[in-house]
Amino acid sequence: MEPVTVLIAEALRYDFIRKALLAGSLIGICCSFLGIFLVLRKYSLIGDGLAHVSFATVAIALLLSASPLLVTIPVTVLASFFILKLNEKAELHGDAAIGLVSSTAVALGVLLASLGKGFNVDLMSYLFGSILVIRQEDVVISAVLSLVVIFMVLYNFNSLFALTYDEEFARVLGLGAGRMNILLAVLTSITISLGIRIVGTMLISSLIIFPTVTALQFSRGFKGTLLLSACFSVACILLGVFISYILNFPTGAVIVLLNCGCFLLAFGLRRLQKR
Amino acid sequence: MLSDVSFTLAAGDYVGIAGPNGSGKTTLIKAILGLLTPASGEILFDPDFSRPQSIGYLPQIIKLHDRIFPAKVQEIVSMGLLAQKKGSRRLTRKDRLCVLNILKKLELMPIRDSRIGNLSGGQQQRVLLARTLVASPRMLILDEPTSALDPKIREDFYNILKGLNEQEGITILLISHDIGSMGRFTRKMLYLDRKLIFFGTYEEFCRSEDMTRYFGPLSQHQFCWRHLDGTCDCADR
Repeated sequence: MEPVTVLIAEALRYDFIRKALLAGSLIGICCSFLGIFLVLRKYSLIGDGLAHVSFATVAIALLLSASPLLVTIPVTVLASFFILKLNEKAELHGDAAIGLVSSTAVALGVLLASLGKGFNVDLMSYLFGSILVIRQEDVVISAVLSLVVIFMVLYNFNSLFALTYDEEFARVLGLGAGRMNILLAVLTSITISLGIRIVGTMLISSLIIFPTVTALQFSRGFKGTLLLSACFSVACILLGVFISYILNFPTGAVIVLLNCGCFLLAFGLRRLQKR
Repeated sequence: MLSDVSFTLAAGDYVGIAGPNGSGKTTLIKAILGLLTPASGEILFDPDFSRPQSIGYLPQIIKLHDRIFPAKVQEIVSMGLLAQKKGSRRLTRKDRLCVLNILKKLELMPIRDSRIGNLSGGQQQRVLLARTLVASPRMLILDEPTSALDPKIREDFYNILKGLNEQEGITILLISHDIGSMGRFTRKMLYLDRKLIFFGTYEEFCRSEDMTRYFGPLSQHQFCWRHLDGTCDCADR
């Protein structure tokens, strides 16, 4: 077998690999930037719930021969609002609200998949991701929207930090807690819609959860944890793309398993430090 | 629900708010903080008093015990300045100096880079007090701030509040179930039971016949004995 550096250099000659690396890195940063707020507010599974919603929306888009990304983003945003409202108005706990919406969406997706017999193969690629076959227009949309998400998180960083630590105090300070909750829901919906191309609807929540919980094993400050989680996220995506290319493994699964490996390593190191 | 509440606070007042569970204490402070809008009536402030910048709020510490939360003491205290900021709410070099000053004042400098979740209950409460004081509020509202603290730390905490009230003239509203301790530090009492039952000095509270009737056989003397036998160096004496 050829040296890894040669294989990586060879991989980088391909346009589809370069696209995957660019889109994957930007989406990875988005996932980790949002992950820290969602994990610490115990909303980790909202990613999972919205990913299930996106499964249904992809099925709708494929049935209508429309662009899955352009259909998924608005519908997922609406679903996130619905989850927030169920949480507030129906006095349901967050996990119950997410469960209701996501299971309904999956049922709808399965029903649509049974109606549209021709697109089941495409739908499978959204279930488990297919970043290596990402199209040029999807790369452009992903890059632009990822930069918007990253900018919005950085611009509102202090307010989101206060909201995450102590929502009641953030409300007393007049930081627009309601507005920030909506912003977080919108940004998460966009990121999920973009991220399902990388690891698929089944695995997207891992991109939100793993980098943050791995970084939590090391860093002490909030900003430090945020940066570290972004580094873990991007590293796992880059490495995952190369490994999957070299060994011909499914990319999404490799990325998630790399994230899991990083977490176990970080957890082990922390345990050793404590002894 | 809370009704029939009318009272006036003067600048520099130190008022203890007490009452049974569900009596409306938290509802009252939420209305003052602007988190709840009264169904009827008004809460009026001096023209030069602006909400939220002029009010500092310290919640119950029990809500904030999250060991994994990755925030340093300095980051938590800086949060108190955000109400004064607009747009992206970026903090300046001057803001960071304000944070360092309040950390020095409350003797928190040695732990300024520690993770909040690794601190003791007393240290955490001091950090949250620093977060509240960093914006130089004119009024402090505290919701059972000492309920999770041991007696020694509780005593220290009450002494810090007393200093803020007496030396800096900060108006304080303090919710507590510990009516006996309140008498040693607060100057006035506000007693609620879904409506205003009593508002006046602690001395008046102890001698009030209305309160004696309200409390029944044990009367308020169970809290006031030191006040009544003259052995208390209480704030209103």
